[in-house]
Amino acid sequence: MYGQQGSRQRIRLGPAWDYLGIALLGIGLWVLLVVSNAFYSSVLATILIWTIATSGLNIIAGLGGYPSLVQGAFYGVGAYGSALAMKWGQPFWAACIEAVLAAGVLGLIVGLVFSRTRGQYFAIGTLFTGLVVALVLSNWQSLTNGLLGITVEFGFDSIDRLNAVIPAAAALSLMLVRFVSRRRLGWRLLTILEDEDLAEHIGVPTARTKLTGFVLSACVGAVAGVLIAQYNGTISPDLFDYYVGFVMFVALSVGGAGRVLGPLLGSAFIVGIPDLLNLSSGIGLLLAGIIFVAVIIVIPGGFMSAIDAAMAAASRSVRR
Amino acid sequence: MRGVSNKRLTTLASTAFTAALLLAAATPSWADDVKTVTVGAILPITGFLSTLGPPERDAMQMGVEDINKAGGFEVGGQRYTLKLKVLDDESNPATVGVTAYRQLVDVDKVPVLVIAAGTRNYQALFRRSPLPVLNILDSTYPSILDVDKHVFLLRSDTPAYVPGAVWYLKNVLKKERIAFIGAGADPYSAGIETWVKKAAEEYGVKIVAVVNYPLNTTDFAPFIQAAMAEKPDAIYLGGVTQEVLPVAKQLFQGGIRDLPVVHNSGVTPTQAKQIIGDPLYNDVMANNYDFAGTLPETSDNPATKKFYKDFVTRFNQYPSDLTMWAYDTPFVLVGAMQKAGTVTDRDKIYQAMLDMPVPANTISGWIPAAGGKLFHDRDAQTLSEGIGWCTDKKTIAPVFVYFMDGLKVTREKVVADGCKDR
Amino acid sequence: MLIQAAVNGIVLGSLFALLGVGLTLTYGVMEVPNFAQAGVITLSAYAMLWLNQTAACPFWIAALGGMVVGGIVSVLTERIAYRFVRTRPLAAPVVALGLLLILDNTALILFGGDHVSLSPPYAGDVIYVGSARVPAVGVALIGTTAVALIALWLFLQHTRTGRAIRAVSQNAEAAAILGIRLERQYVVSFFISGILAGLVAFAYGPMYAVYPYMADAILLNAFVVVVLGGLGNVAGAAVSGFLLGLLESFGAIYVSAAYQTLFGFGVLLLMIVLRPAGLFTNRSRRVA
Repeated sequence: MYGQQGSRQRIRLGPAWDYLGIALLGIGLWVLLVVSNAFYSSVLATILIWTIATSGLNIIAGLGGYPSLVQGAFYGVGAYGSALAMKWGQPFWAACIEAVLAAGVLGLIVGLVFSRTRGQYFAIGTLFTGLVVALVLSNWQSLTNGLLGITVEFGFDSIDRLNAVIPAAAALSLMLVRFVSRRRLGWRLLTILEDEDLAEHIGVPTARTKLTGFVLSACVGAVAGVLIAQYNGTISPDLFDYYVGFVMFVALSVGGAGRVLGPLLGSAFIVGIPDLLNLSSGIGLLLAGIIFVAVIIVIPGGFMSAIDAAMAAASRSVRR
Repeated sequence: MRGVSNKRLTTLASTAFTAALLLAAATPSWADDVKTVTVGAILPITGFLSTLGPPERDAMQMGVEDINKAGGFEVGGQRYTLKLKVLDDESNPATVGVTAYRQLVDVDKVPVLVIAAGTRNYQALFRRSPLPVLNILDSTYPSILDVDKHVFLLRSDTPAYVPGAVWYLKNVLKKERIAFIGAGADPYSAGIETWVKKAAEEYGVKIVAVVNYPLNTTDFAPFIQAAMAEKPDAIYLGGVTQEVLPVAKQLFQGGIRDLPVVHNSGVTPTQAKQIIGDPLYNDVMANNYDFAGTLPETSDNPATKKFYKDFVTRFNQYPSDLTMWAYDTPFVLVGAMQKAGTVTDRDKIYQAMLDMPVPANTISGWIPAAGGKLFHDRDAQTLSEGIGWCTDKKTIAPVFVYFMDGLKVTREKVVADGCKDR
Repeated sequence: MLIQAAVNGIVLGSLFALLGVGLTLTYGVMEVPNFAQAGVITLSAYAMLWLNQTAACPFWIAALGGMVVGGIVSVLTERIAYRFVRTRPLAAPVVALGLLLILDNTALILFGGDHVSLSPPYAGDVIYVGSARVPAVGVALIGTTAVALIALWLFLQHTRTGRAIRAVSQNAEAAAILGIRLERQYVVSFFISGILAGLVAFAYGPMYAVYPYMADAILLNAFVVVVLGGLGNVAGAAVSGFLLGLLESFGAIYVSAAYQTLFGFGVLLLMIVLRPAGLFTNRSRRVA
């Protein structure tokens, strides 16, 4: 998908059927969440929360083509930010907003620091940023309680509310990417993906665009963090270990970067395989590793492009 | 690669939605087998606590089998057998453990949950679905008993054994300048540090240096050098086995060979050989002292000695203190269920556990609380034991047995010739 | 104090130099961040462990065997995976992570997750330099690095294959035009990189322990070295490795031991932002 001319998804203006489709999907997922037993339900909830985080990542990495490996840090800031704000007396909704703002500010700083960095240097730089953030926060015992983690106050009226909010938020995050891709921000990000220097030469404000995309990605990542804190009731530093950011990027690539449903497929895969197959974690991760490598080599566009090809083949054979 | 049009995206989403609904309708529900009771446990089988989980699982399995071999147990006129189900939290309770919790508590509906670490991480889940929780390992300070009133601790906790180590250093080894090297981010190490300081103040020992290394450190040289700069005459290491042994090894490799090295990790000779390496481990362990629970091998109780022999034969591993508590766990559960008269009512079982007597056939040597109860304010206690190393036999031997009453050492017995009988 | 810090720094620096050089070699011929190198180190260490303990080979034979295993595994990663993403630098992190998962978890499944010690015969010895102490395993690390770097330099400067590798790393197209068979150079570079990984396993394994994720953390330090020295610049990586080792060591002793690795990472962030091409390189490679 990357670097292949003419292979980008062309978003067409048209009726809002896509939003309806995503909304229906969200309702279906909610039904599934509510009727499944506690274990499957928790796996699905985790998948949906990862969908939110990777959907956020989709903006800067999918549309913009910048391989950000630091999404895990924003996820963690959302979780810890909201938990700490509530511990300090803030009501839940205020705590959420504050956590998202904090992530946005961090995103702004990181985005500015790396504003002139590209490609794999950007990847390495963001990876190490995530690493530094994780190191500082997990060793800052007085703030984060270190390895012990923090118990999170429950901010919803009931579990049912939370179970409804999670798929709704996931659907909204998918819609957000759809929405952004049709607006000026999305178009500009796509031009940066195609050829950043050319875009700059024809007058696209690349620096501002990238920064906006990056901050938006960070904020959406924080929302996911808030929800995982609420869902599990507990958070600990390995939530935003540098590894998490890396895996989120991989989830996005494997699902289909730049595609609306890519994050959902990728997250389902990354979270689902180890948990659902209930293999010992060694075998589960080995399998995951093999599939990452196989998928990205054989289907560069991720699962979404495989589905494209299948549907195109199906419609061709129907037409014949 | 073709772009996907609006229509395709909608088709896709609608298909997925329909599939989701069909899947939801088809989700099966499970019926429980009423004749078997599941002992559900979340243990660290992998990860940095992986020296602790597998022996616990193995010992618990032995306990379950011994109960079943004797014909199971009877509650309310119905005979039951036990089944052990262990899930791995990968030493990561907040992310992996919570999923395992939901499986055991909400799906498998175990009457009691057995855990080893991460008590605090399950606090919100305790509130959502309360049940009696038996922790068989986590002696960290501040006590996990404060997390929730449903939590029981089946072992003595940090204040019950750490001070004895400092007392021994002062009164038997005649040392007065301790340097503490800990794994600061590990709450177990942090709790030990607190109690070493309290004990030192009480017994008149100086702590000349406190050094903490961050998570994932593999090169301890700067920390060791910082500690040694203050010229201690004893080193105290905080943390679990997998944290403590590499530090002990690097102390030795750095040329520090004549200071006693004290810790509370319950190391077995097998682990020492594996983690430090052969033949180096015999020299490194020579001045190690380990203060924790009692050892099955040196117990006077014939049942405990038998457990030791069986464990060694079956698993080819040296059983440490935590194996006895794990072995006793099924007996405690059966005792509680029998006293409560139910195998499913969690609240009744919880009430029964609060003042149940010490069950017969347990091997840990539980010291009963007032009225013969097993739990004293939800904590079950044994004696504590300090262990030294025998270089000729390349194994461990007791050097000190004691029981802490606050900061007072009681029932103390210094064992001078433990190596002779090994 | 000063001598101890310097000695610690040289030991650490040797490790970083060895890691960095192994990583930068493959960076030079194809622009892929080879995170899988950590997995190669791990499997190499386990091979040595198995040969030494289970197969009862003398330590030196086991070490050589482990190095060969490292070379083979490294070549396999190239042939099976990296080869297909050479022209797709943004797919590379995915492949690298996938390979790392495969290698680490293969080790986990085959050998278990416990920490096991790799024990050379000199594991307990200590050497005194003035008032400073150096464990013998540290001296072994310095020696290994010295030998490896000299051998590598000779290879790259004076053999045909070595010069071909340098040519490919400078400009692959020009090298191809001159008749150098690119595929062969890729394989050879990965093989050497694997041997270097084996050397890291030999030198670093005895310092701590062998377990499936043993190299993941130190590999991050390798990236700092590679960026400092310039991607693909072998001499730069060697020098930067020692610089970084000394920096972290002095920082640990004189500022704060707890944040030793933080110094290194901070340096990397500075470099990426200010001078991504590295301290030593002056080639015209597009970096931003």
